[in-house]
Amino acid sequence: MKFAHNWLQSFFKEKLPSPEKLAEFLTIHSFESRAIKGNKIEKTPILDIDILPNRSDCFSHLGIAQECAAIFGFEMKKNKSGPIFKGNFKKYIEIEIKEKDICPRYIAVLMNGVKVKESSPQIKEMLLSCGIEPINNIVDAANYAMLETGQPIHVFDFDKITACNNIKKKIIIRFAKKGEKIKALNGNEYSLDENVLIIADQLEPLAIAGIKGGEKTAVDENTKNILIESANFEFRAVRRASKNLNLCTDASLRFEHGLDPNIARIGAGKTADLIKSEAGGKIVGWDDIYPKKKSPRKIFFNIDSSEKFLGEKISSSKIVRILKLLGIKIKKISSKKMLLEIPTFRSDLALECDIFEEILRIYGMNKIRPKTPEAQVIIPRQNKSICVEKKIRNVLKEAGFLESYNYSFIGWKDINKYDDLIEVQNPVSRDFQYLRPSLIFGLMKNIEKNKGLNLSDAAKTPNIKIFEIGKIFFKKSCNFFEEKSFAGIIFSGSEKNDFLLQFGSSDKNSFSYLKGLIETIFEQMNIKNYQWKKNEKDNIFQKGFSAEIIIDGKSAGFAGELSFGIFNDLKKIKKILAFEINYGNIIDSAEFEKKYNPILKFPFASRDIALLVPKDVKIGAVTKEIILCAEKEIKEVILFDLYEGKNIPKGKKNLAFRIVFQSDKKTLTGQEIDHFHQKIIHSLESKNWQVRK
Amino acid sequence: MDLNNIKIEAKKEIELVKSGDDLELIFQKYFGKKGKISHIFNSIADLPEEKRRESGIKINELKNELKFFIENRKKEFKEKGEAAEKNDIFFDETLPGLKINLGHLHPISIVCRKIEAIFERFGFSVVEGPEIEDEWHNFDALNIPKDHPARDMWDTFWLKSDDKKEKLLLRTHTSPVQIRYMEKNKPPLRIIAPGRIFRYEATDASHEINFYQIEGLMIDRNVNFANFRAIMGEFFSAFLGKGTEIRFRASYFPFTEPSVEIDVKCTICKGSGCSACSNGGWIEVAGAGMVHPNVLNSVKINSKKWQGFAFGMGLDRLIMMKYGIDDVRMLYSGDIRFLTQF
Repeated sequence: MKFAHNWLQSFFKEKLPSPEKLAEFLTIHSFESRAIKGNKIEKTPILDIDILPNRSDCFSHLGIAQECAAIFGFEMKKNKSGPIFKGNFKKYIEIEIKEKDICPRYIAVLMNGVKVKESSPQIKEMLLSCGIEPINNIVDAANYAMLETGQPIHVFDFDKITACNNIKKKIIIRFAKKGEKIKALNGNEYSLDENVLIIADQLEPLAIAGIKGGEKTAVDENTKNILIESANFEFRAVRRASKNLNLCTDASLRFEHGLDPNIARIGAGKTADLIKSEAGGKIVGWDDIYPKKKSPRKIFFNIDSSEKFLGEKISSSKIVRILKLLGIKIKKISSKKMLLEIPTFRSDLALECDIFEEILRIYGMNKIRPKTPEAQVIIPRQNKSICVEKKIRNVLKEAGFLESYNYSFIGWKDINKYDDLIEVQNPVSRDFQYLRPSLIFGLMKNIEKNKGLNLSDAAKTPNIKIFEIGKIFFKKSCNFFEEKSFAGIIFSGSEKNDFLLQFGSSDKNSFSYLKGLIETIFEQMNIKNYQWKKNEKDNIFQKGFSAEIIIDGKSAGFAGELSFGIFNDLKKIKKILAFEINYGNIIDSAEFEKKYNPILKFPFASRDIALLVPKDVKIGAVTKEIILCAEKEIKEVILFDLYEGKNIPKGKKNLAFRIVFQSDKKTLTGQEIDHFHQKIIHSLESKNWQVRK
Repeated sequence: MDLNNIKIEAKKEIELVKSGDDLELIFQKYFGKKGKISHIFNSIADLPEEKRRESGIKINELKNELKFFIENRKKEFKEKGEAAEKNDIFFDETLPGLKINLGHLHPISIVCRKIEAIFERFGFSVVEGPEIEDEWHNFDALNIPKDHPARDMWDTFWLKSDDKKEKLLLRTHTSPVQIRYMEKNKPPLRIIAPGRIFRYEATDASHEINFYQIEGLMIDRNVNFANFRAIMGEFFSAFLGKGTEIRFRASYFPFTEPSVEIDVKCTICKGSGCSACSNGGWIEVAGAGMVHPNVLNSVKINSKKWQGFAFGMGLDRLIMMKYGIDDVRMLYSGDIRFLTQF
């Protein structure tokens, strides 16, 4: 909000600092502020001040001046109390408030014989510099009074108020009826309903209370007699009406922050004063309906509590001075205790800690010397969930993956295959309409982005490997859920993939890299109770070319090739491998403590075995068969070759294993090992698998 | 002859020898049938039993030592010979090194770990909370008044619900984690809660629809404003370097009283004003304050007995400051050219 520097100056005898310096002071003690130098349009230097929402008193030069008074210790010039209103106008007009809770105060001042014309240049300049367009001397006076005091003022052309059946004119403050309409001063017509408070005559709405006046009673060049309204409206009602009508004005802004009804008299006085000097005329009468006068709040204040709270001794005389400068009245109870009377315009001050804040910000927060807390020692609790996350992150990084952070939102294009998505009611766009049910969508966007880049040096690798750890979201029978998940994606730009090297470059083996990676992660957390199952589900992973991971009997995720049907933008890309695991359920069973296993004293020996099996024989089945032959002595069965194609009969595949024998009790003799080896060969052959000799 | 003199002399000779053949001559000189060592062995034959054994041990030591030196020299000559044979190979130390494709953590992860480590030193535990929140935890329990413009300080993403159940939203700050933690734990409390938050706003170089915050809360019997200043000062010195200047300025958050904003002196221009700090010389990094008694009351903690402070730091802003990143959207771009720099 804009404030004129010289307007603020007008409240003081002492000189205020330059606009730049003043902005700095206000920023530290009150509100973030910037100085704007005067230019051709705005001749006077301006301060742009971000008024905080709890300070309804500061949407005015008066309020900011009060802040300046406290910060610099200046005395404010005595407020000219404005004209003394005289005369009862009840013979001309009557005021009736139907909603006393919503309209706690209504002041109306009737003036006769005004002359509508342009305002004087000083008034116009002030309004312009604060961003308000001058209209005529009556409206300008009302706006000027608002900028100065914070009280929104409305002026009706008295003669345009309808008197029905030739009886006395009447102003009624009531809720609108559904279907009532008003043409506002901005030229728009608004349909009202029973949530909108209005100012009406006996016939129709004249103004939307606290928001905007109507065209019917607008002041124009022929206006002679006016009715000045300086009222108070309850903040919630104004805010609701302003939101519903989508109409935000200088008046509604002030009211919706909760305005002090006691300021209405000052606002009315200021307006009448200005109109007298700018437009002539004479006050005929007035009325002030204010049944429940707002009285000052009282707060007990204890200097010892203040010291305990702030951790710094500030002398009692300093504190008293600060409070007085803020307009707070002090009644001493004892040397330490006081009863404070808070001015009604400071509705934000309700508790003792609010007073601590006032002292602190005026005294200067940065003057409080830092002190190390005298608190008991607390050993931070280890957070297992964060340990697990850290571990996963570390393994993936060590495996050469880049970490990415993507949006939690996905777009409408992404959503087939999902019917349990959580939808955002107010998305920023259709591309951010749903909460992500999987991290894969974001990772795919990363691939898409990077494949087109002209990558050089370090980033130029045959593979792009990216991972993310984050939350995914889904709906189950109308309940919303979020779960922790980690996912990775491998995009191979070329045919040859370095992760395939272990088995050569045939496609089917790439899965073994993912599997190994995931098993390494599990191993690091000592998670053992998991199985791999062929993916039978129709999801974002390619059915038949991906596996489901089951942990503790529950589905935890998938690994393998992605389904092309979903990511059709990437048709050109040969192959995308990915995995995603929801790890929320494994956090509790994760274990990071390590134990040393003594290194076996007895030597190991190994034998290789090669066999030809039908294509559909699972390697797991062969390995199991081998191990069963000598469960105690076989330490490891390593597949080191897997081949089908040239030189291999159709429908068959060649497997080569290295079998490692080692006993933890003795050195195995060559004879013993040969015996086991023979047993294995025999066992495999009994399955009709051809062992190659 | 003195054994020590023999050793010194022999060592010198072995060192100065120029070829394998000369080395062989030296070997003969000492270890040949008429060599010096044999000679000494012979010379002690007449000594009395006890002295003879003593001398014998010493001579043996000398013998082994010299043999070791001669063997080493022999190896050197042999290697030199082999190298000479290979001298058509050209070694080029300017050959480019083959870089290893290391993985990279995202700067958000890196900075988050740093901050967690610093606060753990102060005794703060790291806790988490949900990203989908209800109105009570996100607003009401934090003393944010209904139907008041103060609620406009947080532009909220609301979630569509099928039935007329309670309205849910994406948390607009990490402050609800404070509430959830205080509901379940009794003071004294010291926690930080890093996490993703959401704001419904237009994105630009300094605004995102999702970003990260680190919440902090310390509640104890006598934690005061001066303590709060100390912890924040220590943190920023540890995080951005010793001598980092911070300032507090007045602000308003419904859940703290007093409320402050914490600014750090711009690390780029050192306070003289530049584009990074929009010429202000200071960069706003946290909103904070002493916990409002209404917040403590809402979680049934007696505000007469317990007091403390809370803060929320914009992680993205801190990361941008630390690394000199000028556009927050880079953090969520997934651009490899960005990710590989950390």
